[in-house]
Amino acid sequence: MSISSQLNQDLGQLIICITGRFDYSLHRDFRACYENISVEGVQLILDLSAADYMDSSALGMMLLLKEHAEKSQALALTIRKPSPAILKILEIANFDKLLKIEN
Amino acid sequence: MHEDLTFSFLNKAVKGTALVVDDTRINRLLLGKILGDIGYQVVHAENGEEAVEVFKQQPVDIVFMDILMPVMDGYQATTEIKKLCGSKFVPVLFVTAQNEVDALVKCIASGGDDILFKPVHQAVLKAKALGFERTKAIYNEISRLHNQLQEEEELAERVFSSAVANSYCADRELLVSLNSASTFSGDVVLAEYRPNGDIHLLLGDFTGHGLRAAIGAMPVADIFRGMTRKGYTADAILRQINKRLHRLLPTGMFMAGTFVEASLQQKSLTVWNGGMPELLIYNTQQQAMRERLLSESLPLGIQTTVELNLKTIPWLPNDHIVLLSDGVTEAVNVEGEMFGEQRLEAAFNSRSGQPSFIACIQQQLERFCNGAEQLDDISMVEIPDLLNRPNAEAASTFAGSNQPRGKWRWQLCLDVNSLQQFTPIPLLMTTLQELSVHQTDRNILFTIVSELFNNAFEHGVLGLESSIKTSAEGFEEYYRQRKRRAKQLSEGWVNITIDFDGQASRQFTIEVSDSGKGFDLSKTTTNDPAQQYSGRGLKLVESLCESLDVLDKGTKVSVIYRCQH
Repeated sequence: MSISSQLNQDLGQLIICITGRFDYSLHRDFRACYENISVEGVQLILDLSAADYMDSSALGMMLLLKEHAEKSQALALTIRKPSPAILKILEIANFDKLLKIEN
Repeated sequence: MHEDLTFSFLNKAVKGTALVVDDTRINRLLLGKILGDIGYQVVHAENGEEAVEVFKQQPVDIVFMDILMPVMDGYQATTEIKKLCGSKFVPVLFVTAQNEVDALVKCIASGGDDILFKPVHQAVLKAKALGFERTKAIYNEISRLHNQLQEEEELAERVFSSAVANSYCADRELLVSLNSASTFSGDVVLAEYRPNGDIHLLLGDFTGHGLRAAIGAMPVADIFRGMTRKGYTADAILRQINKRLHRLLPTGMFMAGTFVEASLQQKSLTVWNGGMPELLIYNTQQQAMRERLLSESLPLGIQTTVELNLKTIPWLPNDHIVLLSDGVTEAVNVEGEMFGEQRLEAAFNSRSGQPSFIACIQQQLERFCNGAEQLDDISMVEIPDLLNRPNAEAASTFAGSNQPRGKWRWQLCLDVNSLQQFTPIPLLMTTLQELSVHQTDRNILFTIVSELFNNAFEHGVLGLESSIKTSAEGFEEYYRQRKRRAKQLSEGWVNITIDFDGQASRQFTIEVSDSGKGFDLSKTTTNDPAQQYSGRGLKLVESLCESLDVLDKGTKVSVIYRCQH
């Protein structure tokens, strides 16, 4: 389980990529990915293509990211390529109504 | 300058007892001398076994250990001593001339904390000793904090349990199984009757688990209980909980949940599911899962308002309604495999011999996990087949049928000493509860009797003028006088009589009389605003009752209150 982030100035994208389990243990690292970076006008992408499991604290972390995106006027927040298992969790929580999910 | 700063560190004195273990007398004396010079009290041992004995007999703060000794060597002695330390930190430093890799590794492996090479230099030894004092202070602080945390957590847990603990409704009607992953459960089960006998059930699952997850459960329990008892519906309660949690919880924390409003009279179920696994209804006559209610709403506490998408469906005989937290299907066994939906489904079909479906799921779950560490809270609630219960009809008119049918009288006469020592209201409330008076009626009776008793005591016996209370300062003055006069009181009494007729009229007659001079009724009904504020008590009582009469020149008030349930 790990986390990596990449800010591409040219494309105006910040991509946060989760590998393995997305849960509370990533809490600090997850926040560190975006907290001290200016994301104004930047497109935020949470790439879950390599994540295989997610718990409710991960849902909470997504809400924190969403709040940060709105507060600091990021362009958009997109959840990219969740696995079927994760998509199901997102749907159960009805987060598909709250966040943009892209396959 | 730099050197001064560095070496001033060594001016600090060391204290405590050092144990020197060496089979050579001259070595003991040499090391002992240095240790004595820097401030230690020194005790000696000639070999490992003796060292362990000394360590057992007296408090030791630091140990200096030779490696090769007769009877018991330094490695074994270190291991023994570390065992004896328990939760206390006593550093063991090996003192050796050997500089072989194996020996050095073995020093640490046996439980030692550091190595000193011979010849021992005083400044190095003192620096190490001071360094270990630092480590020891941190160690002690951590262990103190750990104990404090544990104590506080236990205390908080007791408060939490009594605030959130299941009501008698849940005990009587429902089957509940809660297994938390830590001291606190992030899951909460609440159940309560509405005044008309409907059952409200909420299974909530907060983000994460442990104390941080449990905090939100207390306001949820308060709102759920309070509003259900007052007769609010699922819709209003969930909206209120959502509003409160949204205000209270930081972003990223929320409550997923399932809510069931089960009406025995209407034979209907109103269900809300926000972010929880399917609510399952298994019908034992159809021998099949009759209904699966999916999450159709966001969890609570995320947005200011929430679209609940409540669903109302008929409640059939032989229905078993099962609510589960995601900890059930996500429970993991030693191989890292999840329990999953198929095993859950299978558990429903293998109920034979089990008292309930959740007991059956529990058994399958235990068999599957086989002792693997539990990572999340696992909660299950089942509403059994209440419609087929022999006393289903009685339950459906729960509120009325449980009322006492007979007649009774409760009387309390308080003399001056009793009035000074004793408030009768809590006693009365307990009595009414024992007599199965419905909660809603009890609450109203509480207000009525409290007001009447306070009037009798304060205005009647103590002779306080309620008109004092017209301003904020007056209010304070009133209560100062009340305290003073009550203390100095030498005579007076208050009598309270409550008659209940449970047969025809189903009404309470409450009479409260006192030894005071009475009051002029015409004054209390005046429209003078100054008087209105103070005369509020009696007005409130009047609005709650069927009738209110002031008798015997204002020394007695008699009211009739008709049961609502």
